[in-house]
Amino acid sequence: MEKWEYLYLGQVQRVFRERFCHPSTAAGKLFGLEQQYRHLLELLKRTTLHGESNSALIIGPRGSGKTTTNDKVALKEITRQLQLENVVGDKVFGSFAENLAFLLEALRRGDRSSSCPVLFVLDEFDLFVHHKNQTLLYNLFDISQSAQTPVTVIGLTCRQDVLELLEKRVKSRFSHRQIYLLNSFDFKQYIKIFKEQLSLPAEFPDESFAQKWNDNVQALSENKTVQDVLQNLFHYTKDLRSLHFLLMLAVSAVTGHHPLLTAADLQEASRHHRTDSRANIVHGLSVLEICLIIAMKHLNDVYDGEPFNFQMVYNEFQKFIQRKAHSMYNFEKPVVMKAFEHLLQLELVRPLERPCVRTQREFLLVQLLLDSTQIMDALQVYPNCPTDVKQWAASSLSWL
Amino acid sequence: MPNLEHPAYPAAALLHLESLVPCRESQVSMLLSIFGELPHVFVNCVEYFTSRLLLEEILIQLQSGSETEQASHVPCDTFNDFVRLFKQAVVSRELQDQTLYIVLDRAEQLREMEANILPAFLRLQELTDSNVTVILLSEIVWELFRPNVGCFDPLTLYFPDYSIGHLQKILSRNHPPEYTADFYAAYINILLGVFYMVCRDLKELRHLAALNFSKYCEPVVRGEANERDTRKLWKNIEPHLKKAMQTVYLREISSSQWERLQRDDGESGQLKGLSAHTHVELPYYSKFLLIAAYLASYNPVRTDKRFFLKHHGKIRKTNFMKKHEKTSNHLLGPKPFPLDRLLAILYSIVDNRVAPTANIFSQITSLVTLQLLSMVGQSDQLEGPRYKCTVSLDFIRAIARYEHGSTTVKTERMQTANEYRGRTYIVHAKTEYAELEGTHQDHRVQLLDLHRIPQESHVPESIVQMLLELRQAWVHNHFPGESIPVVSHPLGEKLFTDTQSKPPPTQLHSVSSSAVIAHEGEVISTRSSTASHEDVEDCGEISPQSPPG
Repeated sequence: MEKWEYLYLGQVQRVFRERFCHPSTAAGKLFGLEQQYRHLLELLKRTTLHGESNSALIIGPRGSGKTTTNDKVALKEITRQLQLENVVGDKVFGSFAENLAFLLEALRRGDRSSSCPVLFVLDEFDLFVHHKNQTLLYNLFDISQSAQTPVTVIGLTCRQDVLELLEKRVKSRFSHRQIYLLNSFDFKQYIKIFKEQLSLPAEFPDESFAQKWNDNVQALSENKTVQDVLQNLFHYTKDLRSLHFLLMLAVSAVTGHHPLLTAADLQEASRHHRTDSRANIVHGLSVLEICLIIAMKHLNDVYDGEPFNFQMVYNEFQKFIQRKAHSMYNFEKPVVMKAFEHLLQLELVRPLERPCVRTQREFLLVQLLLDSTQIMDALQVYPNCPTDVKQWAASSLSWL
Repeated sequence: MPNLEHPAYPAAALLHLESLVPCRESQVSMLLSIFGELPHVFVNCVEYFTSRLLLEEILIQLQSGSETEQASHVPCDTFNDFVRLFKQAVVSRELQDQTLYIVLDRAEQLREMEANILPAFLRLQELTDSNVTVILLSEIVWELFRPNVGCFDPLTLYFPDYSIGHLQKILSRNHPPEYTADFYAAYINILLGVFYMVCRDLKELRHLAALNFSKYCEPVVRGEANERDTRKLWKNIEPHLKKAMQTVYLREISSSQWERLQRDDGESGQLKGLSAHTHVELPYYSKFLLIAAYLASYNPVRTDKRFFLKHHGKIRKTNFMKKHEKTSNHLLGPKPFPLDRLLAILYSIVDNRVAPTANIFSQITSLVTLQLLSMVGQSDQLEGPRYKCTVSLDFIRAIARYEHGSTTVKTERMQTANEYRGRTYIVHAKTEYAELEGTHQDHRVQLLDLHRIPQESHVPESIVQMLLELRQAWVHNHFPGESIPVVSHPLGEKLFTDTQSKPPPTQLHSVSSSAVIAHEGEVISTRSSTASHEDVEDCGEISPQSPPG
């Protein structure tokens, strides 16, 4: 392939990296959200232009992360962001009560015509409702309802029942405006989104390469296997972040020798996206640990999922060793205990209660976090598994 | 990774690497070598186990990366402060155009810290609005990390585990220069043959390889074999490796002890592992107390009468017992028992008379301190203290065997403890065979008739307060499936003739506080053969007996 095309690979990667990994720069790409967007914009406009105070709640299944631990921290942040007078440089002075009083005073002194409207955006709104007395929320909503500085309070949350968590006095001051952001597109639109996300933008420096790339993308979107892959992902989750991850994995396969995406790349990416992480871990266990897992599987079958302890697992293992095993050496109990503790460390086996001094380690009740199908599948791909172990896994009664 | 030829990484994605146990450390070092050129911060979450320590360490490492020397300690309590200070640090190091990497090792400890740390780290790029990638390294799956409400899911990448071929290659790489690579490779093969089935951890295998190589080379050094005599070398090393599995692999002895052992070569009698230290030298009565505790923990109460009484009847099995026969007590763990039952069994297994002095009770307490027994429940319970035996059958066997060697009196008592068809027999020389069966029923507290009070009047009142005869009730089988054992001491009549008339007051307290409890709904009557017994009409209404005389 041509050298100049190779040079542009870096550019291609940069474009996609920014698109998939910097969600903030993908502004304006709100699919199907135009109506909500307009609604929100209207609300904000009203605050800024007319001095109206409003409050609204945006609910949508977004993953979220920014949390503040209590009202004090939130208040400090508010004062800092508003650049109030008790902020010197970056530090906020004063205790919580003083800060709150100061803030409320500052907001109260304004009125509709003369002061600048303030927009409060509260991310992870449902965490604010767990604060003590919901003081911050109460005060903010209170201000928004009285004839003071125009403020708009926008809360973002992913819980649909967040209104029930609000106290009565807070709920009454809230305007009950809720904007729902739901991914309400269907599969055809999903494919269109896929195409759009994968196409190079018009500003790309090399036009012919961009044209070639975009044509390839068009062909891919009509390919049956690619559509199957997308259908699988669509059935699992509609949100765009998974789509971005899939596309990122696929685009990572693009190299100098392999400049255009193929359907096989997407399939490989999909396979990687859907690997069972626990099966990966089981793949790396030693044979003794696999035997312990099989013993636990049999205990689960016999006792219908009741918790068991190490002594029972060891008993099962001994039964296997004494009657059936030719390839397994009869290890001593401390060695088997060490293997068991390794499984505990990998959290494939979880104790029901914290281990304490009173109970001996062998009698601590645990539960297995793998189910039978996972175990059998993992055994199929386990390298060099001894045959009698495999047969034992298939049926514990085969020696009877 | 195919993109390594591009040096500039303006990405700010979140990666979660799931690396499997055997290969973690080399992959971490590989990661670090890639990152050596790039600005990064590497923090271990076990070392900095609170959020404050973690955040401050990240900031300190960020500051120290710059050329100027200031490493001033910046207090950073909350994640809010961290975001602010982080932005400052990035600006001061002029890293706005590059990507900064924060690598958190042992990230599963993040779950133990405050609840907002993990979601906040996953969103760090959004919060600080800068090019930062957070990489979490862990051994466990992502699903166990996820908080309940959900969070920004990271990209997960998997590191595959090493196959046996890989392990061989890696281990063979650090062979000492005086031997050939083939020689060392053969040694690694033998080592893996013994240990691969048990453990695949690269660190462990490397440790074992380093420790045992000198022993492997011994025949060559001594001139008995040359490098290619694989059979001789194998014969030399194989028992050694088996011993290693029982000791160094389990960390029973330290590696320096192991090396010393190899040098002294054959004084394996001196090998005292960690678990050998739990076999403390116990005094005479303590040994019997421990054995009695073991019997009390693992035998159901209904079998006591049969084992410890001279003339016992049959135990009738009811439906309840038949249904629950399968699970042995040995699988389920020890059951708690009251103090009185312990003493009753003790008196029945010790041949000569046991004076119930404070000595015995203090030995019980010291057994609890040694964690050979454990106390169940609070110490101020009205029903008296309950204990549980926390040692294994092997320990008891070791004690019993040791007993066997000391004096002739003791040999009559406790001869062997065998496992036979899932039952444990403790053979009494004088009395009959005692069988211990296991069921997992939880029995109520029952009291045993220890011995009859002899007619001599100077018998102390204390121990005898545990007299309660339930024989009639047992005969009529009032109790659903449970029998009330009654133990009569073979030397009961003459038991207390030699004891002091006034027992120490502490003993009085401990025993008299134990109320006599009976099954609900049953009528308990006592045999009024002596003045100390009282007739009891209703359950629960039993008062301690008045002292005779």
